[in-house]
Amino acid sequence: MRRNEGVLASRQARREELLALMKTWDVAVDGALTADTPLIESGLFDSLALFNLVVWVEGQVGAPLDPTTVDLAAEWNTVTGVLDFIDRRRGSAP
Amino acid sequence: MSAYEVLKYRPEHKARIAELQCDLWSSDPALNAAILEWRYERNPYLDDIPIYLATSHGRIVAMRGFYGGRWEAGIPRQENLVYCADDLVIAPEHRNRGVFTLIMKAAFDDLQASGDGIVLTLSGGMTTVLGSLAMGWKSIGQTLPTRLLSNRTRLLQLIRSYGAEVPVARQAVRWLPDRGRPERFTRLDSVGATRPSGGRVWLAREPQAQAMAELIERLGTDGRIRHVRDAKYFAWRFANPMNEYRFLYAGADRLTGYLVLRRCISDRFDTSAVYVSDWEGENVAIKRDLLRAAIDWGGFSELMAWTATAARETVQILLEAGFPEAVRSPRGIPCILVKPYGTTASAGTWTMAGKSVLDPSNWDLRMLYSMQG
Repeated sequence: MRRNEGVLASRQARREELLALMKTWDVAVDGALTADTPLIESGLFDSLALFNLVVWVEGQVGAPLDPTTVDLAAEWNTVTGVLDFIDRRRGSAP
Repeated sequence: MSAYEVLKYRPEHKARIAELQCDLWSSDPALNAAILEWRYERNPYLDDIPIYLATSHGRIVAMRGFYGGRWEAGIPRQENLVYCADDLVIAPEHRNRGVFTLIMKAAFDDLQASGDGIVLTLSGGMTTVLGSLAMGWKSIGQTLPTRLLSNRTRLLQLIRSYGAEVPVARQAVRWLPDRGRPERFTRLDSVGATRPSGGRVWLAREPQAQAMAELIERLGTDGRIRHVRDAKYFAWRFANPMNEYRFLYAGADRLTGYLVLRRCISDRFDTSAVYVSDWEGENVAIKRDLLRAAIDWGGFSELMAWTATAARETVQILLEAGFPEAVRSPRGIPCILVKPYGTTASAGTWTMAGKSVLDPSNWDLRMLYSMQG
């Protein structure tokens, strides 16, 4: 049920959900975490947070994700980038 | 200014690393110290010890090691020194603080200053793979493991999945072991001692490094990228204190084939499976005899092999022996990662001896090359 709700959530709701979740992942970001905070480029968002993020994105897309096919540094550097990625994946879903 | 400083390993760091590695290698610091000495201090390819450490307030809180290997590709063969990144450990309270990125940047700056080439990650778990991908590493492809399960293991799995479906059975299923028992070579040793194949295949506890290397030399190469398997390599490789090995050999006067079995003795890893670390033979019949002996004599609850770049006839032998066809994981792991440094990186095309390192068909990957083997 939760997965379905996630898939159907609006972009805005997803953004809020992701930002709130990230705060629980104990990422040491300087200042406030916003949709445009560099996550990967800053080096702060490393392996464990990325793992959490992959699990969350899979929930939103509704399918397992192969991260080796994604340019994480380019596509997931910000929350906005992650949301764009989800929109593209959901848009291209059969 | 970063709260962390990156240092290169010095012998006085050994005790702290052995302690830190209780999160990864084993819960025994003495075994961890032995692993470090073997993998890095006695590595036959590097004089240097490229272990990078992150410190916070003077205390080591993370490490990433790069052990050396000699890889070959092409016809005629060209040899290259290749680094393998491994053994990432970050103390829990220092995760998500940018430590991984900091260490890797320092390591690559250092490598860059030493020349050019590629770095591999052969045994990374999901979190290491993700951290690496974020730093521009690329996947060569999945290793495509296949597992032969004993009847007992299959039955346990069946009961467990039944228990998950049927509420009334759930309590009973909780009493079942999560995995099989830790695997031992007891049965293999006992059956192998009787030479049941009439001497066609025989079992040993020690590597015949020279004879194995001569066999590899006689078999030649198809030009794909692979580790140089000479006597020096075999002698070092099978001294890994984290593992126990058994060697099935074929041939009388000279070696015509071998199959290496590995089991892990660390309490931090899955000890319920035995792994086909490496496997060679002059022909299909010899390879089949060796695998048959491993299965029949060992009676293992789980026997695992990689299939990703194995020759078609090798995969066929596995299938005939009852191994299921390897299934591609939708999450892309386990996989092999690669990243170039120096001019190899700036050239844009990632190659070794003119072969693209991103094309899985250019690789002859064996479990032996990874720390899983």
